Order: sequence, then C-alpha cells, then structure tokens
Amino acid sequence: MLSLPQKRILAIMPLALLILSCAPDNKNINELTIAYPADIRGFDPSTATDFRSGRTMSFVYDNLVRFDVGTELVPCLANAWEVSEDGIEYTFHLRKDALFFDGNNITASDVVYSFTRILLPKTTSPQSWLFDRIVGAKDVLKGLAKNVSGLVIKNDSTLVIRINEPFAPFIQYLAMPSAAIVNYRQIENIHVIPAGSGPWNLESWERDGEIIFARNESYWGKKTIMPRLRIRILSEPMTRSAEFEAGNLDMLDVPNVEIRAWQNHPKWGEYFYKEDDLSLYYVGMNCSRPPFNDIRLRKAMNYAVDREKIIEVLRFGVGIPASGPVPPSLLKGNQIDPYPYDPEKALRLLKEAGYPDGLDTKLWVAGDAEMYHVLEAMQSNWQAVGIRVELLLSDWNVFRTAVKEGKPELYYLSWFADYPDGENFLYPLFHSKESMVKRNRFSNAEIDSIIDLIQALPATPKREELIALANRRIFEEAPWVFLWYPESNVVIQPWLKGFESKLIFNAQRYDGWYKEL
Amino acid sequence: MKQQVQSPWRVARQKLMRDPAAIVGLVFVSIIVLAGLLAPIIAPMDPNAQVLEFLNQPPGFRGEVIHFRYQPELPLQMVAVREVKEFGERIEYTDRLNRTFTLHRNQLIGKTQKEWVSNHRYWLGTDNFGRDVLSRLLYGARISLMVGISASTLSLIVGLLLGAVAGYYGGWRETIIMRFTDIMFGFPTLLFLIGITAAFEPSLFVVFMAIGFVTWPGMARLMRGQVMSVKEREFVKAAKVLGFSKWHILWKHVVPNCLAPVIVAYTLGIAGAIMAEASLSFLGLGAQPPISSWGAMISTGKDFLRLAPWISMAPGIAIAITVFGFNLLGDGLRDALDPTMKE
Repeated sequence: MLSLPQKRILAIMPLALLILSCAPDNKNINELTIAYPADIRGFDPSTATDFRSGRTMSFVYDNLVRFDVGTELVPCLANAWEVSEDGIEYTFHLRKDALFFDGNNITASDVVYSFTRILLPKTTSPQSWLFDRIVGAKDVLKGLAKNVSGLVIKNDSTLVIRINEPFAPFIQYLAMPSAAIVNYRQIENIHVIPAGSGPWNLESWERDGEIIFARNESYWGKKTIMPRLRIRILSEPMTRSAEFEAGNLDMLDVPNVEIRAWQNHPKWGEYFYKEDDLSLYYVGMNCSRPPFNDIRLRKAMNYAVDREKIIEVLRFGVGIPASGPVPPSLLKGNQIDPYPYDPEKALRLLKEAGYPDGLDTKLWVAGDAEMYHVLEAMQSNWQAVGIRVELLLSDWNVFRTAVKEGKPELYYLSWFADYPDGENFLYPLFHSKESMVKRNRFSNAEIDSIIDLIQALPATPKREELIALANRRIFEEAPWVFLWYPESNVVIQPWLKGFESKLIFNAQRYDGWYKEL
Repeated sequence: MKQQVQSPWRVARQKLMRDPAAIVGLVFVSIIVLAGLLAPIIAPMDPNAQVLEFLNQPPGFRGEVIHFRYQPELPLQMVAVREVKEFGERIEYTDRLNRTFTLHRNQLIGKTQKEWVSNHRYWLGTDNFGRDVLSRLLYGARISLMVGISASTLSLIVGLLLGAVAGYYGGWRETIIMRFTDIMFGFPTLLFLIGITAAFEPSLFVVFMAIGFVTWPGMARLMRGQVMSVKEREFVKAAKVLGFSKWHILWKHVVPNCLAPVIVAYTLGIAGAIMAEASLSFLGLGAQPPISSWGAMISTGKDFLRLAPWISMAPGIAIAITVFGFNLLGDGLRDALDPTMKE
C-alpha cells in the first residue's frame, strides 16, 4: 500500500494544472470554504426537496422553530409556542426584532403568506404535504380557496394554527426547509436571490462553480463568526480530497473509499469525525405481486445478504447493519438484531416458496458510483443462492417515476430523515396510504393502525414503545431488504475551530465556526 | 529465364512479413486474440468470484480462500478464511470477520483440504470486489474483440454494400445514399453513440449495433471512391463488352479490386470500435456488471485511483496494446496491399 503522501502525489499530478488554474486565495482566514458535490436547485424553499438545497435554505432563511444539535426543537422566529390540550391548536409568539434582508419586520402575516404559498396550486411545490393537515388547506390545494382558514393572525406577533386532527410531528414539519418564512416583497427573483432573513446572505452564485455567502450584519440572532462562507461545487471525490489536502477546503466529507487512509493517518486522524446520518439504505421489494408478495422470498432476500462483510469491507466499516426501518438513535434502546447472514436458510426458504431452481429478477437503481458499488456485491450474494438479479441502471427521473408507478420488482434506495422522529421512518414508507401509491406496495392493516396511533400521540414513553413495535412488526414482514444505517465522516483542517456536528441536515449554519491560523 | 507470376495477395503477404512494424502489430493482435480465446483455460480464477476481504490488493498479493458451491448448479463461492476444521462430513470455516460457518463436504470443490483451501497468487492484484484482475482482463479481451470485430463487420457489410452501389450505379441511388452518409457524418460520433445506447436498455448487443451504425458511413464513402475509380479501368470495360450483367461486373470484377483499402479500414475500424466500447462501458452504457469489459474495469477503477491504481491501469494498458497492435497491422496492410508502393 502506498503511504498517504505518495498517494497525494499520485492524485495531485493529473490534477495539478486544474488546481493551479482555479485555486482560490489559500487559507483565507476570513472565509470558510466547503465543497458540495453538485449545485443547489435555487433559493426557493418551495422546491427545496433535495438534501443540498434544503441545507442551504437554512443559511438564508429562518423558520418558526429549528433543530439544534440533536433531536430537540429550539425557538427561532417563534419565541415561544403553546399546544392546546386536544393537540389541534398551536399558538406561536413571534419575536419582534427579526428583520428580512431588506430591513422589513417579520410578522405573523409573513408566516401566513409563506405557508399559503407552498399550498397554492400555482406554486406547484412538491412539499405541500407539510401543510395539508391545517384546517382549510385542502381547499387551497384544490384551488377552491385563496386563504387557509386554519391560519389565524391574532396580531403582528401572534399566530394560531389549527390542524384537522392531533398530529404530533406537525411542529417538527415547521423546521423543514420548505417551511421557511419568505419575504413577499422579494418573491419575484426568489429562485436566484434569497428572500429571507438568515445569518448568511447571498453574495454571488456562479452555477456549478461556487456559491458565496456574506455574514448578515443585521441578523437578529446569533451572528456567524466568519465573515464569508464559500461553497465550491466539486463533483469529483478525488478533486475534493486533493483540494482539501492542498488546504483549499476547510472541511471534507470523506469518501468511503478513503476512510481508513484518513482515519489512521498520523496527522489527519486527529481531525477526523463521525456523524450520524439519521438515514438508511434498503432494497424495496414489490409486496403486491409475484414473486415478492411471498414473505418467504422476501426473507430469503434478507438472509442472503452479508451486510456485515459488505459494511466492513466495501463500506470500510462505515454503517450499522439495519434491523428495521427506524435508525437506532431514534429507537431509544429498543434494538432488535438484524437478519443474520444465512445463505442456507435463504436456500430453504426459496425451496419452500416454490423456487428450487432460483429465480430471475431485476433491480432498479439510480445514483452515484458509491451506491452502485455495493450492489455488485449483493448481486453476487443473491446469486450464490440462486436469485439472479439483473442490475438496471437508470436516470433518476425515470427511476423515481417507475418506483411511484410500482414498476420495479426490486429497487435500491435510501431514506434520510426530514425531522428526527421515528414516525418519519414509518408513515411515509410503510403506511398503506403512502406505500400503495408511491412505494413498494406494502399494506398491512395492523401496522397501519399502529402508525395512526403514533401520529396522534404526543411524545410519551407509550409513543416510544409503539414506534419500537411498528419497527419490529415491519422488520418481521420484511417488505425491504434492510441494509444499513450509514454514517458520514468528515475531516477538518487543524485551523478550523468551533466545529460541531448536527444530527439534522438543515440544523448546520456554521455560525460557531472560525479559523485560527 | 522463366518469369514467375505471383498473385497480388501473395506479394502482399510477403511484403507484410518483411515489415517489422506490421509483425509487431500482428504479434500484439495474436496475443490478445489468443488471450481471449483461451481465457477459460488460462485464466487462473473465475473472473466473477468475489473475495471481498481481498479487495484492492496490489499485484503479486497472495491469499488463502476456501472454494465451494451451496448447490451444484449455483455459482462458485470463494471466501477468505482464517481457519478450517473437519468434523467428518461437516466442515467448519472461520472467516476474516471471525464468524464460523458450516458446510457439507459435498459442497466443497475438490477432494482434499489442500484443494478446497488454496493459496492464490493474484499476479495483477485484485479489484474493488477482490476479484482477480488478471482473470478479468483475459475475459475482458473476449468482450473487446467480440465488440470490435462484430461492430466493424457490421460497418463493413453496410458500408461496402451501400458504397459499392452508390459508386457503381451513380444517379439517384448515389444521391440518396451519399446525402444520407453526409447527414450521418454531421453528428458528433461519441455523442451520437451515447444517444443511441442511452435510448435502449444497456447491453453489449446494443453497443455493437450502435458502433456499427455510427461507423459505416466512413466505410461507404471509401468504398464509393474506390468503385468510381476502378469502374473506369480497362478490364471493367472489357467485361461490359463481353456482355456481363451490371450486377455481375460489380461484384465479380469491381468490388474484389477495391478490397485492399477496405481491409485496411476494417482493421483500423476494429481498433476504433474497441475504443468506442471502452468509452461506452466507462460511461456505464456498455457491458453491465458483473461482465468484465475493459472499459467497465477502467470505469470502476477510477474511483480507486488513489488507493488501487492497478485496477484501471491493467485494462488501460491492454486497450493501448490492442489498439496499437491493430493500428500497426492496419498500417502494414496498407503498405503491403498498395501496388504503387515499391520497396
């Protein structure tokens, strides 16, 4: 094996020209520089469905509430809030000193405008589900009304939101990127110029090049320490690593392949951090038609995959074998064991299900090389017991439509938490109302009723138990091949101080980070 | 003295054999062809058997694996082992993650423990799934040659037919065919290839059809030019005077006399097609996993360039050698088949 410096030379040689020609001011103390693998969609919160755009929204917008380091909600534009006993009325008290970028005060009517905007048909926001539980929201969605009757302005700083029935996760919805409060005065160019109030304001955006933010000097809350934030769009993992080593990035999302090299490196190991992703990878199986409507076959698929070895070897030890849909950090100690690697059992189940000669099937996949990589190992695992899986690589849009239409027998996908609640890993994925129309056509009345209960209950130990129960029941029904809960790994420059990981993707605002050369 | 009359093909062969560059090309091409043909015999390992624990190991690496199949008709399994114990008919092995698995004796490949468990040498290292790069390279030669030859042949057949007809008959036939060729030339080749392959489910069949489809116009243009010059020659006029049909004259007298440059173009076309297949497979539009194609090998290897450069390097060198070989051979053929080139 080559040592890291040797590898560095190898990597940098072909890139030297590239790097030399576009190197920014090296180690600029006033500027925090990070990299994204691809550009964001824009600054309109209504379209922020992807991870990167969502994350970026929180730099330039404020929500009523937001997530802090872990799963706890903290006040943001709302100083305080109350929930009525019956769980259907939320009263928010807004802070009076919050200003938009253009200097206007943020009032309750701005909140109503922002939420209604997501619901209006002409916005065509894929995130309208965030607000469709508010009284009167369905009429706005259908174009029958212009105003949402459940959004009531008491005065400039008091807002009441009524929802149709008790729904505990609702308050967490309000911390999501698309629930950002926008300034109607600047709405026209919102796609390219943020119309918000966040701790960072956009300085310039060169598509597929870089996005530069400047500190919002009139921010009402915690101001960022760094005067500027530069996000460089670097699509190649190798380029990102080389740029980090050259000191041109302050933080690097370490590609899995390189984890051991960084982690065990005498210099960098010290600056290496693991982050919980609150997500999982899985293979969805269409449960409503042959062959995977047979639970034995679904279990065989699970038993045949050697998760441990794949994680250890191909993912370089990154990730935990999945035992059910809900990640361990949201399960509060109710862990179960994952499906063990047991090819003989998979073979027996296949025989019982009437496939003594195995079967042929196709697995749909869209995404990057790292995702594709592990699939070849699983393909080999399945083939070892006679399940011959053909991998079908397709474009993301084709893939998404096919999954929605229930076309694939198998598909490989991941799920990232929108908000830190086990419910987010249950209802959108396994409730028959969702799964039968959008996902792998799984329907189980008992599981549906448990999920309904969870949604109605506020955060209590009883609710935790129900989440654990739903997780166990889904695990037993095996509608997916549960793969792993991944982790992210980052390495930072020695001069970067105040580094802190956040559990939820849009909680990170880099406000406490600074550089000391 | 009696003058010996030699056939032009024989002259060409002798010329070719005296051209050192062409010999080198021929040797390279023969090596690759042999490697492809004999892959099942000379490949040290199953090209698709993964030993995950051995991933990204450098050339020359040695490792101990147990061989078995869960059932006779199922694929070969290879697992890196720490320890193997025999309990009569039952065999227990411990893998690198310290997990113990049980197998039945009849699932193992071979009769004695020496055969079940063997110490392999990976001459060219292992890839990102712990597969033997050498074996994959050898099997990959088959894919490259198959695609190269079938795509070029397709291009040859179509180009030769249309070019000959256009050149010989002229008139509206020529106009239609040559305008269509011009249109085809208007498209950027690689982009057009990507377009065609992306429109279908990716497979090798689509790849060679697409390459053939994109490359025939060159062949057609070449053929037409040749036919136009040959058809004015005296022996063609003589054939006309003798009253042979146009069709007969075209295929029996004209085409055979146009073949020399076409053969050269065909040889060079194979090199081009191999490159095109590699490019498409590199982009994920060609050979689908786990089939080992050189382009696909480079593509997967590029993510490991910092850690395991040999995964991409080996097929890269193989492509270079093959293309170089075909080019040298093509050049040699050109010199040998051109009667105006004197030594």
